[in-house]
Amino acid sequence: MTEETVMDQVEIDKTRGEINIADRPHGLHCEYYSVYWQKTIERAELVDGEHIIKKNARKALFDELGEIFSRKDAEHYAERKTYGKEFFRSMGYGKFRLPDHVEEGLEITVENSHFGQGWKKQWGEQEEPKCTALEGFIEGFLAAATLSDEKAFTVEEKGCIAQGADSCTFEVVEDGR
Amino acid sequence: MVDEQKALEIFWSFPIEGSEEGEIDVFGTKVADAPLNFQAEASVEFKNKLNDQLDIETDAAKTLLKNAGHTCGFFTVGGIYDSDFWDDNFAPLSEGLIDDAKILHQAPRAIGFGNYDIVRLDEEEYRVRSYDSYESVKFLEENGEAEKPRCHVMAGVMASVMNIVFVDNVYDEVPDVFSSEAYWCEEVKCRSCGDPYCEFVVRKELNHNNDEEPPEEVKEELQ
Repeated sequence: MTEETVMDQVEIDKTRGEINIADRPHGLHCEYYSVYWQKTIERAELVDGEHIIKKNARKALFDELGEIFSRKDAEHYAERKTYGKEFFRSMGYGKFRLPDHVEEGLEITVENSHFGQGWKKQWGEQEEPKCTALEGFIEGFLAAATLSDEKAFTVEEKGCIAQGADSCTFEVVEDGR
Repeated sequence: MVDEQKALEIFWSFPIEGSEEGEIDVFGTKVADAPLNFQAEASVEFKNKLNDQLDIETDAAKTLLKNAGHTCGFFTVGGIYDSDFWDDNFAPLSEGLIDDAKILHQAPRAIGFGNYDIVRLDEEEYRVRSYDSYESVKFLEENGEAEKPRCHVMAGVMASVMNIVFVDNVYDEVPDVFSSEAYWCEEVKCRSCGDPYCEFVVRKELNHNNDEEPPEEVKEELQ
């Protein structure tokens, strides 16, 4: 466990079968579920499934990381960035390279993306990027880490492990602060 | 009789923190410690919007979400059942298929999906109660009381336990859940509806007796 760990926010109630992080419920999802669930929602042409996933991912992470940053008394962006990176690593979402500062056009890379790897493993190489939830998670992180409005940033994935890339690349396409 | 507490303790030995490379590896399957509020809220929004658009009486979104849960259970729980780890650690606790199912029943509790009490478990029926299912708790918080049960993902996971143990036994492909040979699950009580607990019933005949058989266009989505 590193000094900047977020694992000290984890509370496990074995009797109730609960894992809580900063008082928010968590559960272990396998890559199969993560990508089948995503595909279920995104394939239904009558609804904008990508929007549903991205919006709710952003909302959840903005709320949870905001609480963690507050509990850690992380006063500066650099500290919040470190905790954010630790959060994503600890949760098994991949190895994130988060930016030292935030502005439009910045790129963020993620090695071992839980979603990108899962899609490629399950259905082979894809034509489009597949880490919709990570787009929302990164938007939520950026907003919480810069003390901005939840919807301040728009992030799009430009290249994905699911497409055959070595890592996933995300770009901050809009900084609405 | 299987020592369910011992089985649970073995499940609790699984890692819940990612490696330096940001991965959590359980039996060759990568898992993520996911914020449940994210997926619960996204599933509710998906269900409401899709069913509003579909001009059919069948609750298609419920079927799709339940199928996603079934697939998750089939691969994750099935992966445990098919592993050397099972042979070394769980198999010595079991005297037969019903014991196997009782051990696998502990998996959702061990990975953060709440506590589930077995009401009945034999080859004919698996009946389970939960007092704090995350899908129902989150639905109540955000939307108030529901007209019908809402724990679709967990219902799918429950069905997978029976299909793994009593139908498929060999870990190769997900069974056709609409065949009469496969188990399916109906949630008959739900906290989101004001009931004191959620109750799930897994039986084979639910496949062709309930109102869940989807129209062909939705079935295609399941392929």
